[in-house]
Amino acid sequence: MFSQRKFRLAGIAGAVSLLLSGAAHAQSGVTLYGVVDGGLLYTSKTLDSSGGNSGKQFSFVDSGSAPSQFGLTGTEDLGGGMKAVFKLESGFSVANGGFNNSNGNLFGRQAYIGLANAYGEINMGLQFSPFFLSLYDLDPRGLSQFGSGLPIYLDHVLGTGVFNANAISYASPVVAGFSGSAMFSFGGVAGNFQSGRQYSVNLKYDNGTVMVEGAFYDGNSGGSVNTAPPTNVAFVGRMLGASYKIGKLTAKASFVNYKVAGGFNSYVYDAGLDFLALPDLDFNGGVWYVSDRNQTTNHSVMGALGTQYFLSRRTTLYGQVAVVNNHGAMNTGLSVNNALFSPEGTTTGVTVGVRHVF
Amino acid sequence: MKKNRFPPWAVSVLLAAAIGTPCAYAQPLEDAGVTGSASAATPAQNSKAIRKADRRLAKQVRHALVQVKGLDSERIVVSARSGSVTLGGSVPEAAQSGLAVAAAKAVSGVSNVTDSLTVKAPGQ
Repeated sequence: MFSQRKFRLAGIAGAVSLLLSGAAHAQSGVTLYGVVDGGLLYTSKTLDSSGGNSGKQFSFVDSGSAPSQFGLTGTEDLGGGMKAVFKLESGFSVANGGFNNSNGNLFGRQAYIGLANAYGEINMGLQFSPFFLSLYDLDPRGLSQFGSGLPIYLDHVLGTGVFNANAISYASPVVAGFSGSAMFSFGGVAGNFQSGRQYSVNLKYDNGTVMVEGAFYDGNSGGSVNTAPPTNVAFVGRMLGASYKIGKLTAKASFVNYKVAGGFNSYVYDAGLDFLALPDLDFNGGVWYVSDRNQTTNHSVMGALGTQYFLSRRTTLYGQVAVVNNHGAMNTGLSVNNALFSPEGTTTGVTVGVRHVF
Repeated sequence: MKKNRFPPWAVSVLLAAAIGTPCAYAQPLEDAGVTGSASAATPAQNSKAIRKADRRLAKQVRHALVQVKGLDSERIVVSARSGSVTLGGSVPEAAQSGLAVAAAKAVSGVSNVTDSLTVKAPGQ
């Protein structure tokens, strides 16, 4: 906070002196930011390579609640209400220092340049899809890395729709509570416009108490960008959800459909609560039911609870517990790292850890 | 395509959640003139009226926050106690907490604002 304020003062001072000298330039700045998150993970079962259970695990886990990352973001005021914006964001593992929580590249989470004014914002480059951002808005546990809609998402399509390469997006301003965004991603294959082509839209209404949101995603396989984990799994995604705030309680519920080409056509129903008991103590929990409409014997149900204690504005201790029950070929996992898939039957997991945001 | 539309019941449940509940919430707003009638009320009624006024003030602050340009207020949790407002939850970038505090202070009936906002951006 303090350094931000200093930046702002410096910016204002700079702007004033430039105004005095007759120049048109104004505030601009670059911010370094990030998340460092690590903890311990226990799961009662783990999936082995043949689909069976290879037993309990007790492990150190990178990013038990939020993906470890660092990034640079900046804006430049171009005058006339127009500004240039950029973001370069890298994901890494606190377990081994390597790339993680990204598409595997240096700035493999987000890398874009954009222009913004009162009529909205246009960004070009690697970015999150409107579909993913809508899921983030309405997941009862904020898409925690453990026991949330995030492992379910990655179980179906890995990084597809999260890290969208070669994308151009438009986000509207908020008008009477409504806002929307659209993204188109070029596959980049000469002579084949459809290869790797992705697009996504969302629409949101928020009046401070009620929020309703819907989103759509359609992506083809192929394209010129091949990453590990893959970000070009062909699928159609849909979501519709709502949240409602009552005092310190926020209730959220949503429906998500992942229709994966040659794979599951899963309907995911989820609902949960977030309760900020004290300004520095939060409890949240949710239930997710996943059913493959191609083969309804493939289904799973997961329940998760989490608590966060905010030691400061930036440092948080957290604990989470989740149980998942898998049937048929459904292999819903509990944790993005170390337990992305679980075997058939019931698996229980726990994480405790610490997160620092800068 | 046809087969995979949202099931109708999911839509109706969401609509019920979105439309049904606000009506119930709006109900207690009518007699929130707390301070004026405080002497006549019994202590129990009085504290009930204060809670109503607190809830109304928190709602007014939430609705003010949504109007602020450049502020993502989705994850802000507002609580009020006799004119003192606490902003908890998170904003996507640290610079937005100042916008939230300024907007909350501008709501009539708010005497002071405690900023307990943390920082959490989409995808974090």
